[in-house]
Amino acid sequence: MKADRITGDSSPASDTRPACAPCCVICPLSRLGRGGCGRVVSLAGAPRLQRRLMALGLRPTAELAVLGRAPGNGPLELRAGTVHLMLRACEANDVLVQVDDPAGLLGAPERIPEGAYALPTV
Amino acid sequence: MPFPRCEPGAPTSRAIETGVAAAPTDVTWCLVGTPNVGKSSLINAVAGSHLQVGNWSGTTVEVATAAARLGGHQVTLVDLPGAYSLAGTSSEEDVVLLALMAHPEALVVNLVDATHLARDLTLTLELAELGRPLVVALNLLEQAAERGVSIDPAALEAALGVPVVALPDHRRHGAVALIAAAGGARTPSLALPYPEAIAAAADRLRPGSASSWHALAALSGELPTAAAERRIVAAAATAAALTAASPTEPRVSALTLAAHAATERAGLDAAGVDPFLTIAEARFRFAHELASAATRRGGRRVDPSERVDRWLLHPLVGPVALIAGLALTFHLTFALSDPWIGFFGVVQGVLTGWIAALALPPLLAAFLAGALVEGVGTVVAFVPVLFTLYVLLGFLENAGILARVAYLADGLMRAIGLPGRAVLPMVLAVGCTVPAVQATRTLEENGDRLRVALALPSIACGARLPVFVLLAAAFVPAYAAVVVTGLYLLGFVVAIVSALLFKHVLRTPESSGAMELPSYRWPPASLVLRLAWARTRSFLQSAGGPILLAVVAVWALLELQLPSGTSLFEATARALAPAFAPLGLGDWRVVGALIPGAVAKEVVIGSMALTFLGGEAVEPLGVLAGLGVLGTGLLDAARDTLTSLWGFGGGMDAVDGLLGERLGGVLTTGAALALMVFTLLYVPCVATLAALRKAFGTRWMLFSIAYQTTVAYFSAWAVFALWP
Repeated sequence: MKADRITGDSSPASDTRPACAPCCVICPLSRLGRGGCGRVVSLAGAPRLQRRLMALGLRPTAELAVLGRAPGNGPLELRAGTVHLMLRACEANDVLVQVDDPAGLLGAPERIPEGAYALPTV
Repeated sequence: MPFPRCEPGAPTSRAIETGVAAAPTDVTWCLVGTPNVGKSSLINAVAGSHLQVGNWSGTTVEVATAAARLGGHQVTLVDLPGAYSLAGTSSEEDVVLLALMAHPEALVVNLVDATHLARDLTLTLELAELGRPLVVALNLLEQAAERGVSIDPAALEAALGVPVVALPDHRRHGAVALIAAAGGARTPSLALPYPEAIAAAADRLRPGSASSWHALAALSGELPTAAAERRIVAAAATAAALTAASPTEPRVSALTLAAHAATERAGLDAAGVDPFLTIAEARFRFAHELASAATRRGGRRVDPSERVDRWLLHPLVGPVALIAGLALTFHLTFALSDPWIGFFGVVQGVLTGWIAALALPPLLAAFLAGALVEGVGTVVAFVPVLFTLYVLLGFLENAGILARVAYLADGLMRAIGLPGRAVLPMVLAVGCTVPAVQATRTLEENGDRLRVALALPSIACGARLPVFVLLAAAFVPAYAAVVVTGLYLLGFVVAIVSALLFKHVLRTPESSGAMELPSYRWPPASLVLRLAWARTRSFLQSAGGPILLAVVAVWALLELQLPSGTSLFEATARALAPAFAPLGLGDWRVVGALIPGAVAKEVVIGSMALTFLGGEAVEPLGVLAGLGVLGTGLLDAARDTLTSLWGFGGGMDAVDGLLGERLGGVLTTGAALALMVFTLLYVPCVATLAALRKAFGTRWMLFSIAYQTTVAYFSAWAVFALWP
């Protein structure tokens, strides 16, 4: 059956994408703090959530920025492309992003299982 | 590969003529679009005051309809819930596809948000694959222009092959443009560039499916839940059966389609193709190309809403703003409506006086005053509070504020197992359970609505306060404030525990926290008012009868005499009393007061006053004197509405000390506490039950009665047993 992790292989906007800096890291979206930004690499989690995220505009290769985090381990406020949206921290765990500047990441780095994602082709 | 298989240029009229009972000029328009795209505003502009709201059958999802006469046609407009995709990702989205399949003759009017053109065109492509006559209406062009984006409808029209109408800011003009375009509506003949393997598989599934979209949905197989999949596939099969007119086309059952799709999926998986992702990506890529071709981009400017949100959603300012906002919503809901509830009380008093002045047979006079006037009064008393609530909800929803409430409250509410949006019904329940139950419709998932609504009756509403105050003042005067506060806390604790319990018992799927934060917008006042009135009317139509009936039943219980000379009420109360003896409430007059308390909980006090102290005779009232009282009442209500904007007018009613004294003779302190706990938790009032029945059906209403009574009985028993 279908794998539980879906991965974007290319983008309609691939021609405009800047080359990934050599130091870039892949991490769950939940580790991005206020002001952090990155690019969606893949989505995991329940199919219904994946479908909803895709429909909202949070699809692989979409650029996103964390505009804020609600207090009390509340949701993240995001901008993905033109869409302004919120996402719970636990749901943000299921969104893998490629971050060019790993300096501002929250929490301990975790090992991403081998083969769980594929980098978008540049 | 000719895919999707859509007949080009099928005229609208043909689709309309296939309608079964519809007259040739009767047309149905289904409005489909993403949430907050302005469907309600359009329907308001087109249909004016002919707006009606109701739940989609078997769900709590609201669907608004309106009838309007447009360009010689009698048009029924159906405002479907906002959806990002036809394959549902929430209860609301599930309804959209079902409704479209239920209106096979309808013209689909797809509203597209110009500020998120590529994303919204993905939905347009899905609708195109559904093979239905389509008109695209571009909305929010001004907002897009503010962000440096201008869109060429002609380019989009050429690419899509269906009429594309730019809706101007003045929506009445937009309606005119839509009517002109509706004549040219066609099923689009688009060929989406799906990869060969997907297109071939979908082609093989096509004969058993209602449309290309259904074939692709069955193929992508990622339909949300088994139940939803069954519904969607069943809808597809029904539609296939309806449209499969040619004898050569086999009528493939839903199960056959699902089985075929599973085989095709397995084949694609083996070939390393993920159907869901590939189909979604192909659609988005195509939509993105369409959008890019039709868009001219100036300087990229940020949405002004994001600047407001820098402050409103700030980690420190946000929670303060949330508490202030919730307090204001609560205050306005009850303070604005309170004077009018008071005024209806005055009207009721005058009518009772007039009835007493008429020379009627005593039983008839008693029926008119005690049952009819009282019952209609009880129903009408909900009009001000519900109308005010619906105006506020309509504003909060359409202005984009409710999504921010969800964002700010989500962390805290999730700690007690509820989604962020549940904060509004929980807060409103402190005032009155009925509007709180109505406010659960702002939650996203059916399951969440049900479990929050079932938990709400435990929260102490305003009607229970007089009972608490009287009993606390009479029995524990030194600790009255502590006891009343404790009861409020107990109500919240029971409600939260109930909501958690129902989550496990009902196994409701977790609602998603992924939600758009729409741009702030000032909704048209006419839309908010009309929607509020339509919703109030809908409540009265379904709940008015049962409430009236319950009041008449209670009246009959109190008024009718048994052949032995005792009243039916006394006999019933005496029969019930032994069951309440373990709670310390063995006195029939106390138990009896709980029966009419089911109509409205504050009646418990009035009923005990009646049995312990005796009733007051009604003074007959002359016509002129009555009119005078009405006039004064109207002026008072108008004045209080204005003053209530900055403070609650009036205070609490003076506590009847004499009744407290009499109760002291029949109840111990422990029993009084048990009575308070029982009153807090037992059977929700009739109006709440009617609201539950309207939203969730009779079964859940009966469940609520049984659940609350059981919880109340054992809680009260525990209090009485544990009291030293």
